[in-house]
Amino acid sequence: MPETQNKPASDSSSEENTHFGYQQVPVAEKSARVADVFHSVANSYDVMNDLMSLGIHRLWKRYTIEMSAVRPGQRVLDLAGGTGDLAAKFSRLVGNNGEVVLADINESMLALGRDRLTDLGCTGNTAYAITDAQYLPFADDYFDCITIGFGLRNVTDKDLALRAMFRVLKPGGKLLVLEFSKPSNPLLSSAYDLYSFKLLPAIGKLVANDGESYRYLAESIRMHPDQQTLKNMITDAGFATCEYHNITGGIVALHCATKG
Amino acid sequence: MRDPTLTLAAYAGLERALNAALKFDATIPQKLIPFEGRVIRLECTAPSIVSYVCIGQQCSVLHTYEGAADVGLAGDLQSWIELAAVEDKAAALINSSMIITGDSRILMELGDIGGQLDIDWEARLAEFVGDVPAHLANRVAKKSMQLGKEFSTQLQQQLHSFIFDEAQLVPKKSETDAFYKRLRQLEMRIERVQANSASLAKTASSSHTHKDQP
Repeated sequence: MPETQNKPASDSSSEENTHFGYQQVPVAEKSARVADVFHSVANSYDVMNDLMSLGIHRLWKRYTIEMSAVRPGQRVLDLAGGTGDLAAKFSRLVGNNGEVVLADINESMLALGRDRLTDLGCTGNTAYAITDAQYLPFADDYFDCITIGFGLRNVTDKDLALRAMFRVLKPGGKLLVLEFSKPSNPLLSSAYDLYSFKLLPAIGKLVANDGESYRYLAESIRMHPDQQTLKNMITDAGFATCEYHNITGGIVALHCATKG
Repeated sequence: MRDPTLTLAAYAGLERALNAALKFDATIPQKLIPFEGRVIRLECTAPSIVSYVCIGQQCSVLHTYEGAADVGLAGDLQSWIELAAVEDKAAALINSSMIITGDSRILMELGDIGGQLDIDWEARLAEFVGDVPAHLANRVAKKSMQLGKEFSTQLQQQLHSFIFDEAQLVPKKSETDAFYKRLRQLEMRIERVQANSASLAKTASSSHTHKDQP
């Protein structure tokens, strides 16, 4: 496993602003504010995921696993892996000769993921890394597959992160970006807005006693690039092919890219 | 492309049901060891549905699979229903219109394992409700099934006698056999008459030719 390295967010970006939900915040502050959100929701993360998506997030992740086509002996990086839903499945798929790295910038989330994987018996082929997706501390051409599930929208500089993923992926390797996106049906879109901005923070307040974090979640989803824009960003990062699959009417999209 | 959410939900349900069923027979994991890692492609041609079953200690049902499956089975919905209904799957596979690709031995052997699946329902139920209620429930279920079978047999017999004897809605098999026998005899007689008439016509034509000669 390559050694961990930490780099500053950006040398000259301290005066620039970026979005944090609907707010504009200095670039240097965003990752700390995102970290606060996830420190706050870590303990109720899985319960809230089930509640918010009515369990459908399991199907979205299942689809990602299927599309990854991961085989025994391969190396997989699960970025922003949080509580390890994807990493647990990958650990079984790659077998004893493979390797799965569960990476997350947030220590609280990663600790939960590590405990959960250990409880599930996923040991021997799993490693854990506290790492920023923009500065991946791995050797070039190291992984056969990289997944980032519901994490890219929280990254400060998405282009930088995509280029970092491109670098550590083997030629022919696959990148899978599972992320909230833009529903294609206007009716669904309206219902989804109502749900996200009214119901979601209320559920967050009720269950996790943290309405603000879930308001950020809804806002960050709206600020995330739509399907086609993200596809362009991925190809701009150097990936040879990229296609996206809308799931649940486009509420979520899975972008599958290959390094040429 | 079709939204995969419902398909994913259906396959997730199937996978859970399959693994639960396999767990009910303690001998199954041992029997499946030689097949671990094998992939079966199941295709319904009309309506078009493709699924992949990856064999392992926990089987997976997938809707997409990159790479070649070890064995494939394809057929229309009717063929699948027929296959599901028959007891001797191996014979049905050979005689049906279903298409098998790849290593058919895997399919036959897995079919045999499936046929030997011996689920101890009473033990499963006992895990949730205790031994005595489970035994009672099992007895009631067995008795109900026995009564159901008897009722079904009697109903069939009575329906048969009503249709054939009382209402005479359809002829009996012996009557239809006799009818077809007479029909065949008539057909043979007609053929004989036709042959005789053709022979006579030929004779008449040749004698007429002889008379005309000088």
